[in-house]
Amino acid sequence: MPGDGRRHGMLGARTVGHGAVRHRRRQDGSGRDASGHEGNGHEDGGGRVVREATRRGVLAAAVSLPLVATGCKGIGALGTPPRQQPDVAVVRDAIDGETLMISRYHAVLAAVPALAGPLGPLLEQHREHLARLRARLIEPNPASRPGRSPAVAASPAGLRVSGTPAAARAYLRHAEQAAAQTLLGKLTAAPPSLAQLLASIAASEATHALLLGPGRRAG
Amino acid sequence: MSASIPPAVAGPAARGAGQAARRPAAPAAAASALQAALAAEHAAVYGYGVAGAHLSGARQKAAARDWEIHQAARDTLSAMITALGARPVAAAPAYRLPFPVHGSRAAVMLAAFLEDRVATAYLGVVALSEARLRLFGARSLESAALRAAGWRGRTLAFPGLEAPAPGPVPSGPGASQPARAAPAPAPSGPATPGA
Repeated sequence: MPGDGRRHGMLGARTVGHGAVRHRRRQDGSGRDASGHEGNGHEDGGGRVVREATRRGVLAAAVSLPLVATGCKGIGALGTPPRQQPDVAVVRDAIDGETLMISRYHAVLAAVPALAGPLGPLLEQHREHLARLRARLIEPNPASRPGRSPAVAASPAGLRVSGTPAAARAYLRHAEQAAAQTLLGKLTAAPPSLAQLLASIAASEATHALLLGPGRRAG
Repeated sequence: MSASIPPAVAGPAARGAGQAARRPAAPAAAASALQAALAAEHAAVYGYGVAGAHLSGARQKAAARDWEIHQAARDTLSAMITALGARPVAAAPAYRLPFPVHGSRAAVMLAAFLEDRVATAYLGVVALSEARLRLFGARSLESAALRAAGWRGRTLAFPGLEAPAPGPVPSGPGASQPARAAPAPAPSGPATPGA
């Protein structure tokens, strides 16, 4: 279907960077599909010669037609949101992971306020991770994400944290290690620049785990 | 002849999001990224020799341990590059240090700096399309970040992607604070290999 690629791009979220490159390729593909054929002019019933359908012309028409259709019928005519691209899912999972880590730090700080000093820099770096990940996602309407529950970002109330500093640090250390592993597991599903960001965040979380270890001072 | 410890190039993310990376064919891209990592490992092997000469006790042992780790990584990378049909880059006879290293404090910061550069170089390997190399790059990046955190005593938000400016930390109570605000000192002359 000729309009699919473009509708996908307009409605669906995509990541910044290589996602945009893929998006352009998809447009090219749809343009060719829309034409059905490229090439020769032909005579219509009245004997007039219809102007030759150039590749450029077909592409231009393919780009403009769905826009016109959208303008006429409104956004509702486009139907259900399209499937998201794989790298969008990777970014969203990473965002959920960082949101969860921040919630865990908040839960620990609520239970053990004395850890505020050493944990502060680590929490701040998680906030930087989250901001950088969010910046890679262009979402026209985050409220209408398909197939996701808003409860995915666990609230601190749902996290049980032990009250001793040592146990709280161990809890965060294991969470950091698990988060880093999860990110590494997503590496091959990501385009290059996103993979670099995920690898860097995973490395940062591994260093957090190091500084949360016994005998180290975090921060 | 001396070479500056090279600023590593990390690939697409370092060039900014939204830019299409024009990469050569996969084997050439792999060889290029691995060569950059090898160059950073050569510099680290040299630099740890300098750092170790200014350290003592447990920190000297740690420097010796990391020096051996970088030698092993250098050999691994050389073998990988050879397997790709390319000739591994050679080490420079000497490297220009990013700041003068005359004491233990600067030696520790040099070690952290070397690890930052190595981390950045491995980030270029992470950008490769082959899954095996990508994971190798990510694990090597993580190891470098862990060593850097060990030397620095604090963590970075984006190891390999963003590093503090090189420079020894000013002495005094603020010694554990980031060196980010410190101006990069003028490069010193070629240092003699220590240890």
